[in-house]
Amino acid sequence: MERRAHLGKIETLRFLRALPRSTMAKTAYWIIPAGNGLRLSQREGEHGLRVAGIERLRLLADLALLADGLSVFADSRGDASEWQLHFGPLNFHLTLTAEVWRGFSGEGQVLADLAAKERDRLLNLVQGLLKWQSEIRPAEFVGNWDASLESMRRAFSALGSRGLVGYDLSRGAYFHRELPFNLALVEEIHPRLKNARKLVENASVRILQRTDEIIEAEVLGTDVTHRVRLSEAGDRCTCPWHAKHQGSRGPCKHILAVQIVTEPELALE
Amino acid sequence: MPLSVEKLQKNLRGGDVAAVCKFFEGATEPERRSVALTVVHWCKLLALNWRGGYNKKAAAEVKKLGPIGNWYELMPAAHAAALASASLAEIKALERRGFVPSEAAVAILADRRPPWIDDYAELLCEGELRRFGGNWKQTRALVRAGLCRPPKHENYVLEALNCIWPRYEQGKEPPKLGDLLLKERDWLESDFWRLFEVDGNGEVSLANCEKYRKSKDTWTDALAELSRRAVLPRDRLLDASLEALSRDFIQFRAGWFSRFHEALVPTSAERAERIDVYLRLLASGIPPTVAFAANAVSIVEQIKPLAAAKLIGALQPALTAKGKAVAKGALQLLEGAAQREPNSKQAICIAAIPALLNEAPEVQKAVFEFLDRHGDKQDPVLRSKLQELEGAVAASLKPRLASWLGTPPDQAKGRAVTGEMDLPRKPLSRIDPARAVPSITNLDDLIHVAGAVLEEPANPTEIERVLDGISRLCDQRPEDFERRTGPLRKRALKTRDNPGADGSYKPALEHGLAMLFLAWIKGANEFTERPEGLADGQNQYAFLLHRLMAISRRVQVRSAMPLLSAPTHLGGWIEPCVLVERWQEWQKSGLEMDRHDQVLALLRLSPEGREQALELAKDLSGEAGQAFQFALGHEHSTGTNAALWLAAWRSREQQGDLPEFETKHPHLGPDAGVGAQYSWKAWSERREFVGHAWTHLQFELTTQPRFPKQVDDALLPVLFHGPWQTSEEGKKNMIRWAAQLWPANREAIFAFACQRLEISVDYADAMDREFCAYVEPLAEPHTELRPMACLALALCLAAQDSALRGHGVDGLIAAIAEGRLDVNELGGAMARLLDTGINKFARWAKSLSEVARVSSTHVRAVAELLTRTLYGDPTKAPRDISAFLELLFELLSEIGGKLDDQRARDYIAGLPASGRTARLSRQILALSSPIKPELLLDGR
Repeated sequence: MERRAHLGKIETLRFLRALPRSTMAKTAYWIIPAGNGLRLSQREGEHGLRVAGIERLRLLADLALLADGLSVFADSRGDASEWQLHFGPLNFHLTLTAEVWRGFSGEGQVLADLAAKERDRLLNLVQGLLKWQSEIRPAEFVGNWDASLESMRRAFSALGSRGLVGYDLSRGAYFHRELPFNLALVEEIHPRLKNARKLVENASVRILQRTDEIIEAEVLGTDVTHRVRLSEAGDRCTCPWHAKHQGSRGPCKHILAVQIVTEPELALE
Repeated sequence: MPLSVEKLQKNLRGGDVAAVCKFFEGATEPERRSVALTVVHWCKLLALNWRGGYNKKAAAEVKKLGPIGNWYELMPAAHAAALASASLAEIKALERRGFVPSEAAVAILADRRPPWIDDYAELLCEGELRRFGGNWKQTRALVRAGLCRPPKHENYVLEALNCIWPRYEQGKEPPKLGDLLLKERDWLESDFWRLFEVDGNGEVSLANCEKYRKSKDTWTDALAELSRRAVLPRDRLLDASLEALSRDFIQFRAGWFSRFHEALVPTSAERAERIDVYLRLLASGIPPTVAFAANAVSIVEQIKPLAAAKLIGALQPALTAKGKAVAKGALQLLEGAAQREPNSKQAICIAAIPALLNEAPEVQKAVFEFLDRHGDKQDPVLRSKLQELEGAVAASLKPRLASWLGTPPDQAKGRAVTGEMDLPRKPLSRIDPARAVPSITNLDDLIHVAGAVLEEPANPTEIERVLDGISRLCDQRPEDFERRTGPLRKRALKTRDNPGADGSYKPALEHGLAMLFLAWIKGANEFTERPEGLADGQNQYAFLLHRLMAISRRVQVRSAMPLLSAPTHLGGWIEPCVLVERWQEWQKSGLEMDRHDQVLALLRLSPEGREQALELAKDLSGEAGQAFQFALGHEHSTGTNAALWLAAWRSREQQGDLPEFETKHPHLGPDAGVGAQYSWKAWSERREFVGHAWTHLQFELTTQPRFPKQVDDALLPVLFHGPWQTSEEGKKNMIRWAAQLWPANREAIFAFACQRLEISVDYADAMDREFCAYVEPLAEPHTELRPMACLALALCLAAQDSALRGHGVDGLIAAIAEGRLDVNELGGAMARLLDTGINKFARWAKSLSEVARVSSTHVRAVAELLTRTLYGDPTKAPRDISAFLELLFELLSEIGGKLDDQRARDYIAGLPASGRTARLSRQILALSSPIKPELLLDGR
């Protein structure tokens, strides 16, 4: 996520107080710059940030009276967002999922990271070094165990999914904290990952073409064969799930299966 | 002795509850259990008959088994038998288990004494809390008989609110609520108090009872009376009502408790004892609760003044509340403290300053008046605090702020917008390269985009790309074509054969696209329905479907050709030179062009680039070629093909009459040879229902000439006025796509929208989500805001639903930024609507203030618009006209202007001369400074 806006006290309060009290189900707004502040829009604009279930932000309205200002972060698609109220040295972070009914289970974005086998080794090593640090950066550990930055990043993604580290957007660093849930189960029970592994186990993936730029494969579905393409320009699949979400919720099980088959770090035994 | 199943069945079929009770009297548990299956089966059969009344599957089963016509009358005896013989789990599984009359339930359970009576009582309380219905009487009977303990479930107290009353008997006076409560003494002394702890729901609560029961015998009066008679302890009632206000109840339900507290008429001494609770309630998030608490505090202050320090701490949340009345009430409380404790004035003033965060100018004015009375203008602490909140101060109060900060009024900060651009800015050309729509060039991309479009056809540009892609690539049939298109084919079949979520309508757009995709993939005709049938009338949606059919006829036989009407640029526009190339390719091929494709292509021609295109189009032949050349600007006589020539004419002249065309092709309908003329009227109507009265907007719009009975299915400009005999439910995507058919003239779409938006002013509805598609084009850079567009915009800005209103705000902001706004046209429409006197149009003040925030250009435009809106009859002004005046006053203060417009001045002068409206009228009319160039914000 990157920072999209920063408001002073007055504009923060003005924006939060102007939020609608209730909205109809599935109504989304775009939040765009207007004057010195932000306003709600119904149009997807270039600098817009999409927020569904906007009444969730009303939580900040009472706190905003005491705040110095507000920073807003969002991912490149502008789906999930984080809203930080600043109180001197303290920050209050409110993170919103893309939709009210969607959770945070990486929303599929870290599924590929969870699939990696190599990260298990690194994960155990890194976990051993967690000592409630308030700032941890993956790059700091790259030299330790002959691991690439990408591998280290994946290991931290997995730790995040397990609830063992959080990420502070304003500092751009992880921090050690442990949520009171057994989130290691995520990797075991996440349906898409499970199904992707099943596809690989059943030899349902056939690589058609593989170059440095693209990988094309066929994956057997129910009564049909899906075509998967992995490339720098973006991954795609012909299944209805991918057609509907276009990657905004992470890879579908077919793309994931092809990733598992083709990427050395993700290869299964 | 075992129980006789035959005798039991006879009793059940007779429906005699007393006989059933007698049947089981004295039976042992094993005896009871031996017939339980029979009883449960019978109960389920009766329930099946009940469901058969509304469920087709159940009805079929009932028919097979033989219906039981009087199932309703037999239910009490059946459930009594279940209570006498079934296990708790079996009873739990039965539907409508509360059918047993209370006396019978008591008798049965007193006789049977199962170990689960407490659980049964809890079970009776489960289920949705409804206004009519509930098992409270049966539960109470069991508790009174000592058979079980009072259930813990909150419905045990909430159901009492309605169920305590006996069944209504015509002509008989119902008993008093107080007397009914006295009969439930044990409940009154214990469980009743939980009514102050549980919220209830939208149907059942103390607040609902008072408002909707329409009885003079209210719970408030009954409880107050019982308090006076010392049946209910007064102190406990006072405390419980205050505690209820501290809970998280919604405003409507919380209101009962504050009113009840006041109905007990607490003495000053009683209030003084509870001062700490009132002070805590000042922090409530519910404005009426805060007002209630402030009133109580002010009463206490009269007999026992509070220390300023204590008051300041308690008032902080109220001073910074959003509501005007709350903040002003808090300031009044501080006033007393400031007068009593002059030594604490600085602390009190510092406490008051955060009230400037309230956006209402009248609150901010009250703050400055407070500071002027009690503050020291030389105090650096106060000045520093004021400086922190400088940006929050309303424009009209900047001079007062300036007097505190010691800066001249001219230098007080205005709308210092960071990075504000020069406005208005001219929008990009319709055919600017930045707006180009890239074509799909290969089969893989086509399959991918087609899949996405079939799942969610929300983007018309993507739909058009797919149509164009299929049109040009339909001859590409590699060996693995069937495999590659397999998933798309499967999905298209499912979409085509799926009638929609509830079976009540077919989503025409998805249906049409699915049939086209199948025609392409299978190479066969897949269109099984008439376009007019799918589109529910002769209209532009039918035209769209005709177009899809035409494309499908060609792609079935793999005749790959460019789609004439495929947009080259966003918004549905076609670059003229590109169309000429396409047309030439068709001409060269010798194939017959589809007329829907031709008509649409002509209507989508961009005005830019026509001269160049005409140069290239010299070799176009035939009547169609002549029509195209005519559209580009060459002169030809109107030909015989009405649809084609109308498209060509309307491509050149979007509005107005076409005499030459009308002569050649008369009476074809609105926007054929005679331009559509719209006339409308709006008025208010008072309606009443069940004791509630409200004012409703009535709206009527007529189009001339009238739409003929039969219209050629390619006469697109006329089809926009055609009937659409269905609702918008689920059709947002199709509405959005159709808006790109004739991007140069959307007046017919906006006219239709106005008729739908009428209801959106009155109330928010799920259909507002679909209506949004009608007004999305308002924000597009090349949409002309003509009369119907302006009317739609005015209605949209007053919509109750925030998202729909947001479309209006977006549209107005964009129109001002791009110089498209005709203030007279929009202001004129608003003036006429304002004359209906409907107060809902006061929502414009909120919408327009959002628009004004964007830039100084928007401030000026909104000020002009407000001025133009005040051209009507002031005697018909809505009740909340003061909201308009306040916004106008602030905007004029901001730009340093005065109201020069005489008609607007006359309107304001003619408004009722009382209260806030009168004060604001005087202020506006008294504004004396003309606009100083150096004060214009973009000049700083």
